[in-house]
Amino acid sequence: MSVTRIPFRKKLALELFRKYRVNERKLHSLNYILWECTLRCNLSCIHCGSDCRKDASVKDMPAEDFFKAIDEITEIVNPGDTMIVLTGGEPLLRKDIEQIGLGLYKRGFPWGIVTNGMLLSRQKLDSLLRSGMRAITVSLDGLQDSHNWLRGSVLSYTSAYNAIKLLPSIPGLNYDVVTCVNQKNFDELNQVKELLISTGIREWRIFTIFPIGRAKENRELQLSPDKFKGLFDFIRLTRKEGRIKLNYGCEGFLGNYEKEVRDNFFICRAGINIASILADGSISACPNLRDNFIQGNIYHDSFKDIWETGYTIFRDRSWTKTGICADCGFYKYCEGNGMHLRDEKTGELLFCHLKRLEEGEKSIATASGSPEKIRNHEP
Amino acid sequence: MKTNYQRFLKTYNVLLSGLLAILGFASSCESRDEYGTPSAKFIVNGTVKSAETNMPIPDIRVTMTMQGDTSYTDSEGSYLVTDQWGFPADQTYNLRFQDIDGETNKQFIDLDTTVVFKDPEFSGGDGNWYSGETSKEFNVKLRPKK
Repeated sequence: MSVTRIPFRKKLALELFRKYRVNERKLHSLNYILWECTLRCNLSCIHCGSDCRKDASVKDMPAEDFFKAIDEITEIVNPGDTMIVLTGGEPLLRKDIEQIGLGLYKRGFPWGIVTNGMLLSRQKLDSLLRSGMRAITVSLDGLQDSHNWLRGSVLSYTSAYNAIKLLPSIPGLNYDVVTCVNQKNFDELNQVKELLISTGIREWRIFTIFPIGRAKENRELQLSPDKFKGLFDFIRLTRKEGRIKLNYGCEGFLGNYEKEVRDNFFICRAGINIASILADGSISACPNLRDNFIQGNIYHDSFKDIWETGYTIFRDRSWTKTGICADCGFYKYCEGNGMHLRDEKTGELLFCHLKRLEEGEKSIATASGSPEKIRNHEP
Repeated sequence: MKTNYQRFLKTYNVLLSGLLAILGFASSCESRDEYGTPSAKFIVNGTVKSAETNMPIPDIRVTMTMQGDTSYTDSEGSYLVTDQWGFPADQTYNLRFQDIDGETNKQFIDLDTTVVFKDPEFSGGDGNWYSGETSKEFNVKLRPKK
């Protein structure tokens, strides 16, 4: 499958979607809030994208401070339409997580967590459900050895898998399993797929590791171009099989793979529909957007005012048309990739999915001696 | 004016989503957000009596500790506490019964206990997120202080 040769019908759809994206920016309806409720973590993952520390001395934000910000934003959002996701660090390390959940629940917000599963026993899950938890995401980064390697703990695979086994039996709970694909677990993807299917898991999401946080120092975590393309072929075929609902994460314009490897066309909703409150009170778009992407702080600013009048760099992305984006023919569909893939200080693009896919295509064609012409970036 | 403009943009996007669906790209505009919150009302009611005399005890404070709902027994010893925002599944509630009116009705020892809703059946749901209500009768006897 060619990456950049997009059929007419899909190109027409991409053009319509461009208009949709412009309207979404103008509307900028907040419907997804992530809270980095702790920086503490019980693992030390090689690829961690946050500033989390395995250090109990990093103080958690008091729940009341978070609720104050949430109560403020309630003036401009409908709680029932606004998902709140507790992330970290490891959110289950907070002793008051049920009280926080209940507080959100009573305010009418659906809420969920992203967890490594280390502390997710049946008892804990029941207790979270009693507090109104609506959605949960658990990480499983390969089979035992590769998962434990990435997560930096020999206990992590067993804990994560035991946690995952609990999910299919809970009626009404929205869940998915996420896998960060890297060089070590790439060849295991079929086995992971079969494992999840046999466990009864219905939703699976795959991410690739991007060069931020701790992963910046571990560039070998990123897939080689041919494997990168191979990953998208795997996702496409798995979706065609229809035995498990697999989506690639929200990042990156993928050329002709658009709509083949995830349900929706690429749109980075950071600052358009998504806001985050970081552990120190910073107001951002996604939790992995720091430094120059910070829009304010709940301790000095009104969360509501920031959402209504801030986020300019997220809602007008013309500044991203620099570097390799400047003369890219697909810029109009991509608009500079996911914001988390731009350098927090310089704004430069750190990773281009389309370019990596093209490199993969070239590499595979060269290896197989195929005469297939590899076109340049042309829509 | 702003509201009209927003309404226009929303309508425009609905139209675009429809056109995308016609082109064979349904759900292109969806995000993975979850909407709404399933809920149910859990009601616990019953009577509080003396373990010694089997007589009803008025003015006992009954608290659903986690949810914070509090009520007091009436002259018949009856009480009712609710969890308005319960999750529609099996639930266990911690209840606390406290004698707080001094020696007015003799003095009774506080009681902490749990009420379990197993496979609850709900009625009066809205067919959407609200599953309806369910109730359980839970009678207790308090022991007098020596």
